[in-house]
Amino acid sequence: MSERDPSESAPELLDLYLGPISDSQRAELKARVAGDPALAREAEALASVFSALGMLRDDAAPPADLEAGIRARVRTAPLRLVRAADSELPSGMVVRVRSLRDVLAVAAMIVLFVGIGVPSVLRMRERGQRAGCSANLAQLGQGLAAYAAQFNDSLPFVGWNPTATWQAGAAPAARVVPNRRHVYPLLREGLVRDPSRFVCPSRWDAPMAITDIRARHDFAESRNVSYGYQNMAGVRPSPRSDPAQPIMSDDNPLFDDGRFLTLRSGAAANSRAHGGAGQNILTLGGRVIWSTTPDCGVGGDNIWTLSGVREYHGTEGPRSATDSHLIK
Amino acid sequence: MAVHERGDRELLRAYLQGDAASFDALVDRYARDLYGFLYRFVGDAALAEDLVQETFLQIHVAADSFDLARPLKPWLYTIAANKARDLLRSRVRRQERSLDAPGGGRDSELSLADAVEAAVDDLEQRSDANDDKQRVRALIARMPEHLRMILILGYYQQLPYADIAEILGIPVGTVKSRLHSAVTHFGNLWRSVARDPQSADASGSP
Repeated sequence: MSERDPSESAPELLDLYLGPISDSQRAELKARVAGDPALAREAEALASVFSALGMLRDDAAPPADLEAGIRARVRTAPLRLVRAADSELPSGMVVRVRSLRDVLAVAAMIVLFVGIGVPSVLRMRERGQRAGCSANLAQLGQGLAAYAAQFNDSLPFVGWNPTATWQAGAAPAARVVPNRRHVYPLLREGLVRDPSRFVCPSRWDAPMAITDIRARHDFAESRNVSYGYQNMAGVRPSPRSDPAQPIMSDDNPLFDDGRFLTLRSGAAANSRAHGGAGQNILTLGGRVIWSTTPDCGVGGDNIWTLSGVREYHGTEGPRSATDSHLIK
Repeated sequence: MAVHERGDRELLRAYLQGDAASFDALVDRYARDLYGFLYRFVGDAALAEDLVQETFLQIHVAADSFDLARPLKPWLYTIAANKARDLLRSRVRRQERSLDAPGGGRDSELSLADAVEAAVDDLEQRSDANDDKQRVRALIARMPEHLRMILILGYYQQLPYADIAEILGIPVGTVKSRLHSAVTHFGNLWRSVARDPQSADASGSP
């Protein structure tokens, strides 16, 4: 074997083996090789290389069933693409042809899914959230009963100073004591152990961190509670008051974190917690009811507002024990 | 006109219009060629067969995207080459991930790579040192991927330079120079084997 590179000095020799070459070119090349000893050595080296490569010429015999295997695999492929004849469609336009029945079936499934499936899924989700919310309030009701048993037959109440306000931003100088603070002892005293019980599943609220509970005297944030509690800035009910009286409920739609929103059109509104469909209400008797109207207090009292009050400054409280006003 | 007498474009056009027999004719026409190319490139009969099937499956799925004004054969080879490259690269990645991991068993210090190396040494000793075919196969497998690819396309598949240029997406001039490089590279390997037959690495599958 020659040590010289077969392609360095006579690249055209490669065409003898690789490239298209006419008979006359072949004859001419052979004549040149015969007359040039250096070229002859190159040709010899190249012949040796291709002789080695040629050993594998017949080395790749395919299996007998190669074509059958391909056909079988293609036939089981799910997608069939067909391009319509060029005369029928503009150039390049592609049609994925399925049978009309397939197309209609898919369309029907989409319509069914959108028309029935989606609302049904949403309804199921809302039902689940409503049930979870109801269970929360029931648990909080047990917490209230336990509190009453432990603290002299009274409802949770951390005190009230008439100079304070439960309405954030009402008076810059006034101390703000959010109404939710009254129910914090349920958590702090371990009467309700799980802080997520204060969070309605339908709201984007978040439970308070368990590790923070003992160190505080109020919820860390407004979003740690989804439920309104009876306004304790006035005449307070006792656990033995009317058992039908609402004491906690889904969030009041008229007051956002204590701020009064609107009264004219909102008094009849339901809580925003369940898409405006209604609200879960915990009564003093420990029952949880679903009401589609806020006028569900004692004697049809509106649970979002105080009787006879049209302007709120955060100092107002119930003038009677049966006047429900559920706020955070 | 019988199916086997029709041109590639006619067959593909007929197939696009729903004629399944035309697709079968394309399979009959090119499957064996593609198998030879793929077998030489990946060095494994089962993998080559699978890759041929995948190539035709791709034709079946993407036939509508093919420009009927262009020749079909280079397109087939392009798809096959891409699939073969992807396969080899994924195997290399898998080997990179797994070879250095402990092989298990009693001696946890022995990696899988060590075990494979020992097995290959044993195989080499048992193999027939004079089996030139085996050596040529091993040398081709040791060539860089781009040189091995062009040598197979140019020499074994006897494809015109223009087709190779289209398959690989390079100019015809580059095809010629790369073919020269491939032959040179193989020549050097072959000469080194001739000087020292033990240097051929029969384990050099791609």
